[in-house]
Amino acid sequence: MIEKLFTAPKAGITDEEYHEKIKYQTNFWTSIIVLAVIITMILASLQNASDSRSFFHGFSAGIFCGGIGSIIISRSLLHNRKYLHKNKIKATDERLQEISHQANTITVTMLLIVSYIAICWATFYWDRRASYLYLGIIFIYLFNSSVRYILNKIL
Amino acid sequence: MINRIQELRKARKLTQAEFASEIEVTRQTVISLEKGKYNASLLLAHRIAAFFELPIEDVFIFEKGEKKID
Repeated sequence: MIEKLFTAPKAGITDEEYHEKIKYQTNFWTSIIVLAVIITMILASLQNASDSRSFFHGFSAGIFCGGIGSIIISRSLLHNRKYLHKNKIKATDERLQEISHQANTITVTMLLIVSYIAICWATFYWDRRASYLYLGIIFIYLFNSSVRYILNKIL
Repeated sequence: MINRIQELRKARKLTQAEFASEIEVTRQTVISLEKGKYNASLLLAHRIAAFFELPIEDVFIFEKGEKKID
């Protein structure tokens, strides 16, 4: 499931295999959007205060409109074979995958550097919010290790 | 590692876009390969060699100083 949803398509896959992968992803995100709309609608009906109720109604309407739009677009593109073939070439191009991987690595490294600077600054002024940053960085490292472990097992 | 992609592609009178479409990569990747900025993976190298109907070592040539596993 993780491989189908989150990993880049392997080079050399056929148009049919790519179509199946995209269809699986579209179905997954469709169900997530429907679930999110239902949950926010239930939460809205459970609220007593009118401002929080209207917040949840707005949130639910936002997810619904955005979700419906993206579902319609992705489902219509799913039947456009020419577009899918072009998209498959872009998605399976090993050089583009390497570029994207390097860009992501640099971005995460920069984020960690910024977080460390923020921690140093916050600790110097003994700001209580610094502890949240420590937790954030620990969470990122734990998440990174778990993802590496899972991908190592899967791939 | 150097390669003969440009030479072989021109011999077959193919544009970079046509060649890219044949081996299912983007045109930018073909440009990078021809300029030697990017080294193809084994899978892509195999696909390119198969397209030209040549052995891999005739398309991709190891330069002196590069470690070669015997």
